[in-house]
Amino acid sequence: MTPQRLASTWLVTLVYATAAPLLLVYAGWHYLLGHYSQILLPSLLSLVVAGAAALRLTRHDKRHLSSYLVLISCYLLVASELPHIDNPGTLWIGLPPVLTLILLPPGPAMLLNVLLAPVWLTLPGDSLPSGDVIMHYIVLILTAVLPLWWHSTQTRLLHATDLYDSESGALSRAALSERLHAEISRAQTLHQPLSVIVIHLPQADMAREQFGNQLRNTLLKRFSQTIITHTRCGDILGRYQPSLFWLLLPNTTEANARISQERLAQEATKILFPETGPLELHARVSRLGKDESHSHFEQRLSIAGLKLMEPPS
Amino acid sequence: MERKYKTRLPNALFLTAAGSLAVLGIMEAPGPTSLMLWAGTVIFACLALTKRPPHHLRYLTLIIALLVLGLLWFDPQRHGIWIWAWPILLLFPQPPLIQLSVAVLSVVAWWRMSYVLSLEQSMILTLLLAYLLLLGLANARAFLRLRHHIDIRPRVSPRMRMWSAGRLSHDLEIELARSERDGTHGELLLLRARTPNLFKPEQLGQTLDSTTYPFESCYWLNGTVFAVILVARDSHAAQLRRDAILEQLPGDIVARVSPLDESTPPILLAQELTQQQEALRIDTEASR
Repeated sequence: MTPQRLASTWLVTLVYATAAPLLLVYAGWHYLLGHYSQILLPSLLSLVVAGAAALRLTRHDKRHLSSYLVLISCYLLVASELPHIDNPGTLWIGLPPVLTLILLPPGPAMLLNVLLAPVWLTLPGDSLPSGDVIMHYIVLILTAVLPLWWHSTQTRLLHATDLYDSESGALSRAALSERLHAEISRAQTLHQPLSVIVIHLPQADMAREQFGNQLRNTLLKRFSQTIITHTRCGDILGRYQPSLFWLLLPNTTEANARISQERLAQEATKILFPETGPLELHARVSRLGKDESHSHFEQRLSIAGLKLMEPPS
Repeated sequence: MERKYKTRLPNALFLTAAGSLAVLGIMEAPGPTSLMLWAGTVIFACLALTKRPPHHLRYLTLIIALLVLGLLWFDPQRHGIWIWAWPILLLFPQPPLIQLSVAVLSVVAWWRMSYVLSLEQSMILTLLLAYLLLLGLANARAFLRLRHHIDIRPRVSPRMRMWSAGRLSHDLEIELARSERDGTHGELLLLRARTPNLFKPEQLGQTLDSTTYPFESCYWLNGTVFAVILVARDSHAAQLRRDAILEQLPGDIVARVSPLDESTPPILLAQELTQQQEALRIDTEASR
């Protein structure tokens, strides 16, 4: 359910990948002009930026590293060039903070911008920066952070309102607990029975330990799909712990819940993975007692789960 | 509610930005550039005071872009730093057409800027600015996706039991199946305050959240219309429950009761409710 909040990979990779040869051209230009001391840095940085592009393209989980590599390259380049610029005005001191804001999340970006401000402000020219230049820098970073900060609050809101567990597609623990509360209140108001099947998947833990997260997530997804297709509309599956699920069956007696449990266990054996064999369910049915409180029932369910997870003696 | 869960920026951030712009305005010699800075101060101060989230302010980006262009146009030497604001301007929430105008304006700004620079500097500026604009665009696309997900999120706020209009159609379907299976009676209750609190439109929702049972899901359909799915043993019990809820709600309420299998989509019902004058309108299954 959580969306891709990352900048589009191909566009960013394109930027990084074309920047690398341009840095080489820049080094060549210094060579032609005879600035021999300034050739080394851009040529080295072109390698770093090319590495960042490759990293961005291949290792999605290492995208922060590639951002930092590009950022550091740009910092070094600006730092090496700023002292050579005559009559700079305020133009070039704005580049590093804006690049930082675009590449990093707003929090770390602002920290870096504040910490590095003395560097950027004192590098150009020989004298200390005028108050005017300092003020321009401050206003730029304060105003530029606003849209980025707004987006990060929106991302947090999205995470906080997300109902589903990203690995299995079932309800997340907080949403499950809330739904249980609602169903208990409904069962008590309408005088209906409520049963819950607590399900433990021993193979989920095993799959992760032996074959890695990917197999486990596929297993969990297949499991949730099977449960959802083989239960009634209105039954609720949620993930209470990494390998422990609760299936809420409103208006279901204990006997009917047991029948469902048998049926689901049979359906689960059809989920076959070569690594783990047919999927095995350890399940236990609990029924909401008359006038039982929400917290008491939830506690009972969690104890039932613990018992299921104990290794058989 | 919105501010409590940080769904919008703290006003202090906008005020700080406005304040720093004001300081810059004071330092500026009187002239067109100082006017631009003061206009910026006013805009950021208004953003801090406004209750509406920035994505409703569609043309704001264009105004700010014009101010930035003005600063660069009248004094490129002194205000050159603002050339780097262009990639950031692309990140503001804005319709595609405005984004395009911002991109065009950034080219104008770049052209003006390259006039006062040496050939070497202007070449480097061109490349760097192009790259930053591309990176800004890449981020803007990601933000667009994020906003889409924000718009369709099922839950309005993390701690209040308040769901979105999109979720209602999904839940109505489930509730209809459940009430047929269990023999219960379900109905949809739509509510609107006749004089909504302009500064706190979610007030009715907060009252609903505390007066309904946990299983009676509440929905925020549009700015002022809320809905509750009522479930009871039979239609008589549902009527008692409905009266009990209506009694506990403060102020003058306009309400409409509709069966779960109503063929009109909830969004249209909500629009009809904003026009409705009578205090309570009941659509029974027989009357249709």
